[in-house]
Amino acid sequence: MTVPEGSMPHPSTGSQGDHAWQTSVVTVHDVLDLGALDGASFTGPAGCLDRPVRSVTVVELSSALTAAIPAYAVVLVSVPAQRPRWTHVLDMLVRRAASSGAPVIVAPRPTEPLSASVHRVAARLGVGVVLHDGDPAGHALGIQLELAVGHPDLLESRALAAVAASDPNRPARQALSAVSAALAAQVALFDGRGRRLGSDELVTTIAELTTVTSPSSWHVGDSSVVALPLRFGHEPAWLVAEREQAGPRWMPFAQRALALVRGEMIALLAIGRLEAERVARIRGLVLNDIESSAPGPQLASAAEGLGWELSGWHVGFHLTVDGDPPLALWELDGRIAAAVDDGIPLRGAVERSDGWAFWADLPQPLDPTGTSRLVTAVHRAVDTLRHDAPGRSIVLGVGTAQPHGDGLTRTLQEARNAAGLAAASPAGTSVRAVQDLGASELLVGWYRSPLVRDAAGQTLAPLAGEHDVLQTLETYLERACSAAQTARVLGVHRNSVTQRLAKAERLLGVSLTSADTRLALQLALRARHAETRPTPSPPGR
Amino acid sequence: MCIVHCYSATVAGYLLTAEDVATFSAGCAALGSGGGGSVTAAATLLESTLRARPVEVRDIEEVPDRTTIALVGAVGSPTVMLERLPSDREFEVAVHAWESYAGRRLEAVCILEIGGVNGLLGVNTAARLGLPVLDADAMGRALPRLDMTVLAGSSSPTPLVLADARGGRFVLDGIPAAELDAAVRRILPAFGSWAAVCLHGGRLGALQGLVRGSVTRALGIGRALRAGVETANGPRSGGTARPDPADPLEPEFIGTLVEVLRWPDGGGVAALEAHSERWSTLRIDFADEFVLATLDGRLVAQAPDIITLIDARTKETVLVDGLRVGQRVELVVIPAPPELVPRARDLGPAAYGLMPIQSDRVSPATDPAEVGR
Repeated sequence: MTVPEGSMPHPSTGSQGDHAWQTSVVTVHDVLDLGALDGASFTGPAGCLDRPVRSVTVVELSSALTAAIPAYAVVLVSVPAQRPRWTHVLDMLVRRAASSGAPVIVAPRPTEPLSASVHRVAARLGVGVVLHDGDPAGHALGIQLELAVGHPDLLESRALAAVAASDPNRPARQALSAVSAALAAQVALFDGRGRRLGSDELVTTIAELTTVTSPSSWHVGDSSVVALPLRFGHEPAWLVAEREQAGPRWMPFAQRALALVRGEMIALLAIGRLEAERVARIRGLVLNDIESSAPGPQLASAAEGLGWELSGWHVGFHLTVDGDPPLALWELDGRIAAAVDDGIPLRGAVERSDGWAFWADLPQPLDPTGTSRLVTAVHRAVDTLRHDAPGRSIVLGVGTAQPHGDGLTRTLQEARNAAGLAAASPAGTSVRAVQDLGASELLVGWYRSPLVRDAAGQTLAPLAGEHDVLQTLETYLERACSAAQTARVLGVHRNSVTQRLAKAERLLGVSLTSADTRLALQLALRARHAETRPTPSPPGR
Repeated sequence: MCIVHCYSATVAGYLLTAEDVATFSAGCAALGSGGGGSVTAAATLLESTLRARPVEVRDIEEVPDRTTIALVGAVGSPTVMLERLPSDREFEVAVHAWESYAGRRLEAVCILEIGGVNGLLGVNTAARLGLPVLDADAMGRALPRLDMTVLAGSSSPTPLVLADARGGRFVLDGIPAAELDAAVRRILPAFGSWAAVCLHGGRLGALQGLVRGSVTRALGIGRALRAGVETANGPRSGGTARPDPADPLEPEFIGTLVEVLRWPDGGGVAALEAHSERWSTLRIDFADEFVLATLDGRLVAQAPDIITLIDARTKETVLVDGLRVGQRVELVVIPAPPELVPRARDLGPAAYGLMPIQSDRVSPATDPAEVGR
């Protein structure tokens, strides 16, 4: 079998008990993990949970006070179906077990409440008492205990065999259920989009998993957690198992169980990836159709199939991401899905030549406060793309609220324009709303013109290699030609600003006293920015 | 282990007077092992009776075998007895009904059950009838059923007479001994849940195995308990002083009740925390009486040994019904009389619906080697 990228996890790379699974030491805690003791209650000092057990002694109730009890034994009390009240025997049996060095007694739960004396005596003498709800005679339980104590590897192998797929076509959920049953734990698969398949009761979150790059295990309070990272291309995913009050053998056992279904989970991720790409293509096609023609019933139906509501209002967003690593579809999908979960009605994303388009579907237009909140929420959502990759720079353009299908086209274009202007600004603005564009909107086409860019390059050519001069000139022009402000922004003396500007005049052969000269230089510098931060950044995969 | 050496030979006979009632009732309450009913009302009755006429307590060895005796006491609900107090009449009616049915006159009264209220009622009946009372009883402590006397299997309990203060009487005869208690329980509602009972009548010589020295033992125990009351501010009340060898009722355990569980069908279990060692725990299982006591899982005592709880403050005996969380109590263990030892298994926890304890522990006084004085 070819092992996909990311080799089979080795237990020794886990953080818990290297090769612990290979030892035969069984503790009281491991005994409590036995499935046959599900629902059983434990009383006694916590310290006895770590005590080793080596054998199982079955004690008939009638001879509980005379039967031999070996050290390190699990004392299983067999109670006949018809019997008088017997819990007083438990107190005395605890004492006998303590004297013999047996750490735990397993007994059927009596019909009447247990006296506080049992709890107190067990705590005082350091013996655990486990009360189960199974057959009071304990025949089947005794066999399970014998296996768990004497042959723990056999028991675990049987459990793992149950996990291994007998049906190669079984659904992924079934595989997860099989693992969950074998481990008596909550099990789930997390993908890079933050989606979860499996138990809803898992406490571990995607945020805790992002730093897990190798098979790992840890404790959170009373819970034990085992995580197995799955690498599918560049998209991360994790298989996680979580269990409360698990014994020390559970963690290595869980790692082995998770590894057994790794292949099925990767196959599931592949299916998910294909599906996501298919949906992305359809989104692109449908949006293109909306932008190029009036939406008819067929188009509206296609849009509805994607969850888009064309009849309402829309606020468009345009996102460009520069830097490494390139933005992947699953990353943005994950952020949008998370935003939707938080109540932000985002739709899309659709890949463009110069970034990503997505929008918010609204029943009615928002007031300025509502719009501001929406923009802030979306900014916060996409800004996390930089958390995982600090080398990235993000520009987000925001359109105005527009109605219906044609309004969607307009607001997306507005957002695109705003993003273009934001990208061209040397101030490093990452969010630009079209309401803020004002006259700048007029310049959108200017910045995008290749001729203008060429002219700008020629104009500024004499300043090539003069970084300080270029930066000082740009800042001076953006700061309303104030040398004092320029000096403050750049952190230099005002005299240095004056000297650099003089040098710029000399190299360019111009005078900055001319308003036309200043305007031309400013436009050239802006166009230069639009070139150095190219808007058509192909999205990564 | 607390040992009460009250098995010394009784005197040939002595008079029990009103002044002895407080002592005697304290001893009977202790011998109730947590059961047997409250002795308070019967003590008042007995004191009144003895003030008019003291009663002679006779050593059983000094009573000729041909003497006609019968066991006299009360049977039924001790709780109801707190409301429908015993008088003299029902017991006299029971005795006279027995005499009439059996065609014989009673010459002495034997106490049915020394533990609890029956110890006083037997003496009271003897005093009212002007008859001596044997220094003996048929149970040695309190026991829950009529078929648990030491005479079971050796003599017929019938004719058995039930009577009430209105003069109503019911004679049972010809019923197998094993079924008698059940039959009586079915009749008791007609008598208002408790009745005077007279049974096991016959010549003393035919009633083998009676527990000897019962009245004297009760007096001794009562005396020891009342000595504790008089020295309530002394070392014994704190339980921290070294045991006094002259004090036969040195507590086995002193502690506070931390839990009392009562089962719907009767009985229960109590847990006590020791004063001297905070996590040391005494467990007492009880039914109508205290049945079993273990300390940190170690057997301290089991029925038929007499397990007595004494209120550490008032020095009053605590009954099963009187257990309360927060009570500070002292545990005293009185070994069962030697006459009960051969039947220890029948009178042990199994008789109270508890799993029997196979234990080779016997208290010295019940050591078979010492029996047969």
